[in-house]
Amino acid sequence: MDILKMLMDGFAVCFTWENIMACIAGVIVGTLTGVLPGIGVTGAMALLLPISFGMDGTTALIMFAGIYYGAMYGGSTTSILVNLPGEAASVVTCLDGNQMAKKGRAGAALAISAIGSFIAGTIGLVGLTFFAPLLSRAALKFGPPEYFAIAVLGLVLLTNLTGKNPLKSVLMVLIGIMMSTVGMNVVTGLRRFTFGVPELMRGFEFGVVAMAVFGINELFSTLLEPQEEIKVGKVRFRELYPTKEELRRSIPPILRGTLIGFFIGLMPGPAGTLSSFASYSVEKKISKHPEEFGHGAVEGVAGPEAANNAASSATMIPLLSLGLPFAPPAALLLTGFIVHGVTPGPTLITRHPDMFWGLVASMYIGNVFLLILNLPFVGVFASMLKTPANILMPIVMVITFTGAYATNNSIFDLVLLLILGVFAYFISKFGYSMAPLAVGLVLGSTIETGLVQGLIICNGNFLELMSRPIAGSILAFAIVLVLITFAKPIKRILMHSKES
Amino acid sequence: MKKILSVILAVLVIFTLSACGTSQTPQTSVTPTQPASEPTKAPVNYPTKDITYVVPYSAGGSSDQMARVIAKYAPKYLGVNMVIENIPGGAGNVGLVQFAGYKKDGYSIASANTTMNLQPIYGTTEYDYIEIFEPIALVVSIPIAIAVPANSPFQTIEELIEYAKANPGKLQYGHAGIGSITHVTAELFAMSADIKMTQVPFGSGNDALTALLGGHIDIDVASLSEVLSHHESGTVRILAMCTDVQVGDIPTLVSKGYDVDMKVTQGVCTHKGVDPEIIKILDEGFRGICTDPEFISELESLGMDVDYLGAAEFSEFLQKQRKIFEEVVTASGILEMVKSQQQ
Repeated sequence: MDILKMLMDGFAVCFTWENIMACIAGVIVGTLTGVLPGIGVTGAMALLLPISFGMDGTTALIMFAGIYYGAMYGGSTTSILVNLPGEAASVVTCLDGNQMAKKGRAGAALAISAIGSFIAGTIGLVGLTFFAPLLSRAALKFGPPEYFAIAVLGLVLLTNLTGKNPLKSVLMVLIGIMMSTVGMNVVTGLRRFTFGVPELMRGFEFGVVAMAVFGINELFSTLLEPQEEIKVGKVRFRELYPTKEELRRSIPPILRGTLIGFFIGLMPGPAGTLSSFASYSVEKKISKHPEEFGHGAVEGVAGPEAANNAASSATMIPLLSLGLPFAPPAALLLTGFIVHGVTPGPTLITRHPDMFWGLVASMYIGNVFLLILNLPFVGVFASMLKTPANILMPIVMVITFTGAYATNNSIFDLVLLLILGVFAYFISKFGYSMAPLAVGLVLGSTIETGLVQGLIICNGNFLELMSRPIAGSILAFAIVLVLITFAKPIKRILMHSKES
Repeated sequence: MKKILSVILAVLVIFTLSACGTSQTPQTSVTPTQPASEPTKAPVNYPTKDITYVVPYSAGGSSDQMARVIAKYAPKYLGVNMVIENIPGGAGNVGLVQFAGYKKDGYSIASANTTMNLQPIYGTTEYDYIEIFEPIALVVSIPIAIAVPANSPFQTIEELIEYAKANPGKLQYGHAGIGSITHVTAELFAMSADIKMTQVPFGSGNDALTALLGGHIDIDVASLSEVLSHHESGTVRILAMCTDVQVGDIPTLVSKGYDVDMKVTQGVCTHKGVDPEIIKILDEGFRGICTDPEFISELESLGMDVDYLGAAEFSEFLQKQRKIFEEVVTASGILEMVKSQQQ
């Protein structure tokens, strides 16, 4: 097949010392960036951009791409170990990953996360290899009205992520949405709820919020509640890695997560974050043991981690075939291309086949490197948990604060971190969980922007918006879901009123 | 006791880390030569340490890219390193406001873009930036274009105008945000062609381009760097240039008789009140950087054309640009629109 031959040529381009070195360097930097909270992929790539000017185009791109998907591997490390998300896309991994760690299954969680990331990344690349042009044309059919519809569907699906009380979850989602309105609004240019504080103009930064409501929350829990001494017996090597049972349970979520992440990654927006949330929600709904979720269900780690890696592969599709970056790291990759005189777009594959296929081939290799890199270190990372809390927690605190500051070079963010962290700690004592707040925060702006832009495009007519095929069907599906959820209570109310 | 010690240690580490946020490392550097025409002034020893370059946008955008290339050439022409500080948010306002609070010692500079000159007109900013900042250099200017999707029925700008005249308000155009330079340019075009179009605001030029490619909007008024490659590969058709510059065989609005000549400008500024000697040194330094042929070609490869103006000329340019902006913003009704939303 033509495509396979070109892919083989790509591998040939890849197997030079410079390109292999660039790939390794990229994935290592990426993993580190992912592990350390706050220091983002985009920042790392921007820092390395001037250095890349002197490098060969393909080599530079191989390195940058490595940073991007490498970060999706590393992000789960701190999420699992200390309930601190390393990347926004790893927030969901905190939920069950950290619980697994508390039960002594940290090694298993880390290993499954790496395996899932590898499988998803590779499958995603296969999708990229064979279906790139087709998929990007399909992706373009999604405009603002469709983004609105998807965000609404996301809200309906993702509201009851954790906790047993749906009402409390909905309240947290609403608070998240309220928080997303703070700042300078994209569509109108209006500042809302900024109270004259300039830093509030950019709104609540998701990364900082995630670090606060998960990481700082955890910090206070450890500080204020007496911890039982974790029985540190002789840890056998076997216990550091997943059992056959865990692996068996992980495969279906990984495959589902790959599918979910891949499709969400084709669209603009925080693809990694959204796809991990979506995967978690799906796994919870499908599971035969939903009560395990939030307490260390391995599906809750396998699915989301696969999803965010598939999403990063999928983000490359609109970038390479249309020259459209749907996420900030993709925008930097685009810059990398342009700097070396290549403009991604429909003609990229035909005009610069060696660059395109060399890059794609390098991503396959990079995923393999990452698996090899991460698996052996699982044991090392897991045994970090043996550190007594009074040494580990201050280190985590330092990392959290540095990370929060590194996001925007702003002391204000540190104040925010503390305030939100305290708030999160107190209300979680009352049974409110933080994940729905994160969902609300992420989806809030998409819903609002999509609705306003969508209505403008549809001449202010909501019915016209619903009559668009894609948007309409997604919204209808969301409405059906809401009705199903309320079907039982409504029936009960109807029956009661019949009797009386 | 151990616990208290660890907590104190951690707190100390945090404070040292945050204090190290701004680089203060002294550098052994070249003492710049003083112009011979200043006999009475004692030579100013500048720069002796790294200069902070505040970019009020996130890493990866065009301002940031330009800054990083400048930072690459800074050691050659100014003798010290430049450290980029990204402070994104609020369409550039957050970073500029924070920069305004920095010490006025000439060791910090910031991006001076069209936004800086445009935003204060709406009365929503903390400061009027051209009053408190001192221009140093205009580095690049990027033309603005009117683009339609490849499958659009309009082959020429005249056809578009004709249709718009017959169907007021039906055509929808995307731009990079309310009050942005592309929004203002689009309204200026609409005014001078005497047509009415509906505007669809987006968060960035990239989002508008995505919507254009999907056919969700009819027109995109965008900076050339965003759409040129798509025009060349045929996915998009540029009907006219809103800047009086010839790009390929694309007609300019000016040549069609419409008085529209707007462009996106990116430059550098520091604080007003900085020692004029230091300003002179910065001016010389940037003159060197911006006329370096390698610098020019690196920026070109990023899609940005170097259009250098020195400190004095840039200052004049900004004043003129501000007057034009004020006129257009009022006449096109954008000012009214923004002000009415404030209520």
